[in-house]
Amino acid sequence: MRAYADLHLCPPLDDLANARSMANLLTELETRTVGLVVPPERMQPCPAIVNLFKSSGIDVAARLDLKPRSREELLRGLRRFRNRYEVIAVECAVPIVSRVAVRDRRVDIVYFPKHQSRNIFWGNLAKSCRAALEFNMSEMILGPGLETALHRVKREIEAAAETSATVVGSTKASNPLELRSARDIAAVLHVFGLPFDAALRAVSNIPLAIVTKNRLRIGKPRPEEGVRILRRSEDHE
Amino acid sequence: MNRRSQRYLLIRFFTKDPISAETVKQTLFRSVEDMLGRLGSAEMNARLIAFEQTTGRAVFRCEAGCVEKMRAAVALITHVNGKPAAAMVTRSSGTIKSLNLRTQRHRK
Repeated sequence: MRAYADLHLCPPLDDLANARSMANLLTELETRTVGLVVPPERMQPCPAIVNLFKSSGIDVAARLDLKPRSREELLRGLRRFRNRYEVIAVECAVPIVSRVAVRDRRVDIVYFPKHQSRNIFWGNLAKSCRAALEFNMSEMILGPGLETALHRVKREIEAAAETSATVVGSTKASNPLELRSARDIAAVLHVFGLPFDAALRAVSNIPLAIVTKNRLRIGKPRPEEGVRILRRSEDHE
Repeated sequence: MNRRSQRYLLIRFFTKDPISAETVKQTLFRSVEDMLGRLGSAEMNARLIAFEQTTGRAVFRCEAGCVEKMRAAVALITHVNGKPAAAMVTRSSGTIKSLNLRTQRHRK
C-alpha cells in the first residue's frame, strides 16, 4: 500500500484544538508523514503540537520555509539551518533567489508564490532545477484569481514535465478546512498535465525520500560526502 | 450495448454547519461544471448515491474513466452555501458494498 505525505503544514503552533482536528482528519485521509513548519526560535523545546501529531500515528518532519530577498540571505540561511531541519524549502519571490535556490543541493523544495506573476518556473530555471518544485493546494485554490492561478500551475507543470524536474504536491494548510487528501492533490496535478505516475509519486515517494535522505544526513555523522557508516567492526574502539 | 464501468467515491465534506444532501449534490455538480464545463460534466455522469448528514460523508458514482477529474473537482471545493468548507475523497471503489458505509439511502 502506498504511503502518502504532505510536507507543508503550517498550523499555529499554540492552537492545540486546531492541531487535534487536523491530526484526526489526516489520520482519516491515511497521510503517514507531514512536514510541519517550525520557526528556528520554536525548535527547542519541541512544540506540543509535534507530540500531538505523533500520538495520532503521524510521522512529523520539521520544515523551515526560507523567504530570502537576496542571494546572500539565502546562503546564510542554508548555512545556519541546513543541519537542523529535515526539510528546507525556499520561497522564490525574487528572480535572483530562484536562480540560486533551484541549483543549490542543500535546498529540498522550492515554491513560487501565486502573487509573483513575473517570477515563474519556466525555461532555464526549470532546466537547471535540482530541488523539487512544490505546488501548494491552498495557495492555488483559495483567494481571488482562481483561473489565473490554475493557468500558471498548468504552465509550470508542463515545464516540469518537459525537463523531468521533480514535483511535490502539498496543501500548505493552517486549519482543517485547507487540508486535502494526498490522492486528490495527485489528481489535480494529473488533470493539469503531470503524468499519472509522476503525480502519484509527487505525494508519496518523492516527499518521503526527501525526509528519509535528510534524516540520514542529520542523524549520524558522515566520514565523507556520499559515505555513511552502516555498522562498525567489533574491534573498533 | 455493454454496461459502462463505474466507480463509487466516498467523499467527506468538512463544514462548520450541518449541510443537506441537496446542498452537497449542488456543490459538487457546480465544481465539476466550473472545471470541466457542461460537456465534461455530462461525460462524467456523476450521481449522488447516499449521504449521511451527521458525519458529512457522501457516496458519489461516476464513469470509471473520469475518477481523476472527479477527484480534482472535489479538491477544488472551498465553499458550501457560501461558507468555508473542504471536501476530500477518502476512498474509491468499484462497488458500493466494498465502501462499507452505513449511510441513509438518498433517493432522487
